[in-house]
Amino acid sequence: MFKSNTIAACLLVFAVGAAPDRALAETPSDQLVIGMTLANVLQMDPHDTGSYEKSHISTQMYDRLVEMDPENESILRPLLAESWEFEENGDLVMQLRQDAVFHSGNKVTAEDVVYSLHRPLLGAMNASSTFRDVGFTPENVEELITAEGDYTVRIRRPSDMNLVIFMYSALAQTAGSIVDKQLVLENEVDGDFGNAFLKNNDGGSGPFSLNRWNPNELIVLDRFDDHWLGGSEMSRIFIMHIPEAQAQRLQLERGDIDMAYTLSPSDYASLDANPDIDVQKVIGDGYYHIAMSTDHEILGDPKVRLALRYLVPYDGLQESVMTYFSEPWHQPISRGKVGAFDEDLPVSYDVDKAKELLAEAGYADGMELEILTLSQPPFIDIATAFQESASAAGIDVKVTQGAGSVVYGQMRQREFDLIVGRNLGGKYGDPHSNVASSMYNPDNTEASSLQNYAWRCSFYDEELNAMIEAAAAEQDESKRAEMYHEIQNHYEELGPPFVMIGQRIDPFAVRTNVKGVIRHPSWTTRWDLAVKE
Amino acid sequence: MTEAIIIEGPGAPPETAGQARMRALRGFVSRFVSKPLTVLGLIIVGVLIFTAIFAPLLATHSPFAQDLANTLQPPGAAHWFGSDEYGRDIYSRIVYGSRYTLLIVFMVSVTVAPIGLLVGCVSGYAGGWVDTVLMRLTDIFLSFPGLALALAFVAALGAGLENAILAISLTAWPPIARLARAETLTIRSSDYIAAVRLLGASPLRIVVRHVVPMCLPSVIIRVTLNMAAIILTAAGLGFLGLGAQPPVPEWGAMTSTGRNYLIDAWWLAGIPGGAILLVSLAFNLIGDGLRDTLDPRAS
Amino acid sequence: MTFPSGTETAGRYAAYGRRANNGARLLGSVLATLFGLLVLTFVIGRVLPADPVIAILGDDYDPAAYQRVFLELGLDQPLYVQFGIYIKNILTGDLGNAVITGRPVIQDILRVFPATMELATISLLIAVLVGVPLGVIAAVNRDRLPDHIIRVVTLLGFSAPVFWLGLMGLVVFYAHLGWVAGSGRLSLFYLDLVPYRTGLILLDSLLAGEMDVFWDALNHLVLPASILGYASMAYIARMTRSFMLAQMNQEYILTARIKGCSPNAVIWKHAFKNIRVQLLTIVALTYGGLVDGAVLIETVFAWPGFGQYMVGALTFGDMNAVLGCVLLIGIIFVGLNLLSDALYRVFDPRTK
Repeated sequence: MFKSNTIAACLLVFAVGAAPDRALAETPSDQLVIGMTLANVLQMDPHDTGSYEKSHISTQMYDRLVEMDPENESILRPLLAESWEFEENGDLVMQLRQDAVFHSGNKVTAEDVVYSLHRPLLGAMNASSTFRDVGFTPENVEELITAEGDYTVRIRRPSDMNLVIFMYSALAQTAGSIVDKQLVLENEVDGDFGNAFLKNNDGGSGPFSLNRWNPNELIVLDRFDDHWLGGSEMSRIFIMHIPEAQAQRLQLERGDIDMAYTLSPSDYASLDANPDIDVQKVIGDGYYHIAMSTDHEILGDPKVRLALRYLVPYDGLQESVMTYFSEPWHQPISRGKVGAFDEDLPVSYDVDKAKELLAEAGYADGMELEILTLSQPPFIDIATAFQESASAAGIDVKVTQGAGSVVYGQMRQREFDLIVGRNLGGKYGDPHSNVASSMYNPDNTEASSLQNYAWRCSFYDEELNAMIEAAAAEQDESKRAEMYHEIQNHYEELGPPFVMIGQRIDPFAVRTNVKGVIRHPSWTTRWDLAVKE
Repeated sequence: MTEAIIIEGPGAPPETAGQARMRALRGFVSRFVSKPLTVLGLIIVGVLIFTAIFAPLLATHSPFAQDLANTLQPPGAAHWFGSDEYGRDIYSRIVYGSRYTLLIVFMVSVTVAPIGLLVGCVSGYAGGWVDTVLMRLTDIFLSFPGLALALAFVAALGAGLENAILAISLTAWPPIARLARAETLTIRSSDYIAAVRLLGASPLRIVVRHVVPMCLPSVIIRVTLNMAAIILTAAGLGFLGLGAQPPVPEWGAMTSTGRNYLIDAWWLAGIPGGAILLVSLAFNLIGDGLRDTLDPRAS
Repeated sequence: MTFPSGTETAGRYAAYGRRANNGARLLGSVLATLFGLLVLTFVIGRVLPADPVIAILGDDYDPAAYQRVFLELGLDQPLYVQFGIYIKNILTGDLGNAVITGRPVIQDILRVFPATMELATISLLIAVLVGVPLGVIAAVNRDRLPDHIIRVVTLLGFSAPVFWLGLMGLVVFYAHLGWVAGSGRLSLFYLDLVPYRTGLILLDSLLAGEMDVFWDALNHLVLPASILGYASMAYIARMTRSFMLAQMNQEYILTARIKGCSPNAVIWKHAFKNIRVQLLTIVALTYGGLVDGAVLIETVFAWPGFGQYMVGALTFGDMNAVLGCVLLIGIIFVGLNLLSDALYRVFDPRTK
């Protein structure tokens, strides 16, 4: 009797296990299903957070005034702003389209736009750094950005800097998302500019509205039928949290999801060979790099920093773990931009050269350094490869991995030796983007209001700062290019605080029956353009 | 399973305590090794120790040497267990990894046993408020699952092998303390201790010289029973990225990084995970044999 | 997977209860344990190297925004003030807001906990349905081949790293064989078909009469639950074997045999009947131990449950969420211990 019981129990387990797979083989033709990791999506306020994944969600929920052409970032295309012009004094005047409405039904007016552009600074939100960059402050922004009638917005220059840069760096980014003023004000608590409300709710006019958000589980976006573009072909977008890269790939291969955003190198290599799946590699403007603190007693020596440059196995990395994550380019200004060099910086893995430089600096006997890294590929891969290759020159590297809040927390306090990073500017097509992140550091004190990568590495040079400010104000393009050449040369002489691994690629894999989605280098890929065949 | 740990010896009444112990031990050992599965466990652990000691001789490659031109090679003549994403030889990494597994088990055991003994014996012998406070502390630790608590500790201390060992130790001492306390309570009321006390020995001396040695055998057995759990907790921490850091060839961490290559290169995660399974099974077989031998109901 | 600690915790609270001889003292000692647990966690949380502000704002944070969020989270207050505020809020039923979701912790826990409970319950069911008969078979065939085989098979499950079994299971049963669904709790297209009642999808779908949803949920559940169940099977099978052996040595069994009862009747009607209470206490304790396995298995299967939530909270340095989780686990553990003690005392004839 007990035996039959056992058999029954076993049968139950296996019967359930062998039940026909009831999941649909393909996703419905009017719904888009995306797999990515949502661990970094902590809230929905478009002005208050800057993760890669979050940026994509905001892009669908909120309209911006303009966008950059994903295939040529220097071209600005109209969104809510129908047209714009620069007046002689440098003012930017934008005309808004009049048929746009928010998800709440309120009309999108100049008043909403002005409020949205004041909000980051007045509410001390994360997006405010891109406004500060150009010279806007909480004190001057209300004066400088104003409405003229219902559908005209005027933006005055806070500094000599050309406002085109502002269009790229703020207006075309999620930092320039337009929020529903009336709705936000209705839900304001203690002067928080609706921050608490927008963290969990939708206040936009974008092609999709937020239907549901279960943190670390899924996000459901519904098509907004009254969108001025007429509405996407997709009635719904599901964004699923699939933290395991391999699970994401399996589901993509089986057609359970249409797009996968966070895969590992071997996945891309294998998916590339799959005729049903298309792997898109668009070069972004940031870099994978190893940042060095110049405040460190050994790394403060430019010769040591230069020596580390010869201790990265560039070719090996490129051919293995970095194939789908970076392109070889090691100059501080991204290839192809105004002021970029034609030739790449000559870098190579050269232990003898590194040893020579270390000996000159007085560290022939080696040293111990700690490298911080995110625990995900390819960051951890760069750290591990560097650890091994640097040991050839007697450098003992200790790898410490962690989540972003650990790794960058230490960097913020400027307490680190080395960090594997992915940044150094280039969320927009102008060279200022690169230099503003990697070398511009107007205030090297702890209280600085600009804590970019240069600041975090305690990299400070007065002359370089002046050169950067002058170049940003210059109107003549060829003169400007020349100025950026000089900036890069001067920077190289100072001994950069970064070892560039390569120019960033954010690949993603999409099933071939999904058309129209073009990955955007500045994290604003539009999913509303998707069409399924 | 505190009730199970009583060492009994068969045969005639012993003349001295020492003799009785020896006889009990002999009987225990012969019963213990008479089970084939237990012997299998002992053999596997023996191989593990052998591997750890002679790792440099057994390994075919350096466990750290990268070869970026030959990554993800399947198992074969060049690499017996294949190569990983940096072209490192997995067989050699497994061989060297045995050292870390043993190190973790050994370090946790030698940390946990004294702490548990001390807390338990002091608590049991002193009684009163000392007992209340110490046992309340033990309860706090016990009212939380081991891995989750170790996770919290290691997240606070920072990831790394040493911190993982510390975190596991912090979570593994309470059961030992409870056991030692229970034993102490029985010992305390024995005539023997009463006699020592009458001779004027200080409480400290009594605990250290008389109570602790008598608790020791059962504590050692209890620690042995726990070894498989230690291995699995360490592997779990390694899997969550909080254990040993690269390039240390710790098996849990190897499984963790290997999962990014699971479909195309199963050996990256499959082999180290299998190694964990094998060793943890061996410790469990030994533990099971121990328990069986000691369980009065089974004899 | 703390195999032996389960039984060691049994009886602790009963002991207090007996010593104190009244419910108030027992309650006091439980509260003291929970309070101690919170203090411990608070201290751990304070030294967490993770910076929750950066978790919220990302690595490209703005210094002014950093300052604002830092103040919002009350991180400028001294530790004891933060703790005091926290305790005060708890007493009013407010566990605070979680950084990782921006929502009240209590709301988060209510959302993620049913997912884990569903997983743990089914796992336990599998472990019991398979483990108990195996234990009985092992006891009956003591030291013969079936006993050895059962021992090795169950110990294998207990010895395997659950995360590894999960990964291998996904490759074999999902990728290659296609027998089960992939990660998550439910396929997307069944998401809104069932109204939320208990949060347990199996139950909700049955209540709503949506059999498709039920099957889909079961399809997602079967692999992680089987793996977790397999891991705890060894313990249950072993304890069953041990209890059975103890029973079978008793005189009444011999008497029954002599009286001519069939072996099966003896085993099930007499011996097994007598160990049911003991088994129940073991099962209650195993339930609590499943939390450990859930932490790992949820990571592998993207199961939107409690384990994942807690790991996320820890890595992001989210104090409120971590404390909420600790409190809940503490309550569950203590509760299960009390329950198993109570079961033991109420049903077991020997304690009367």
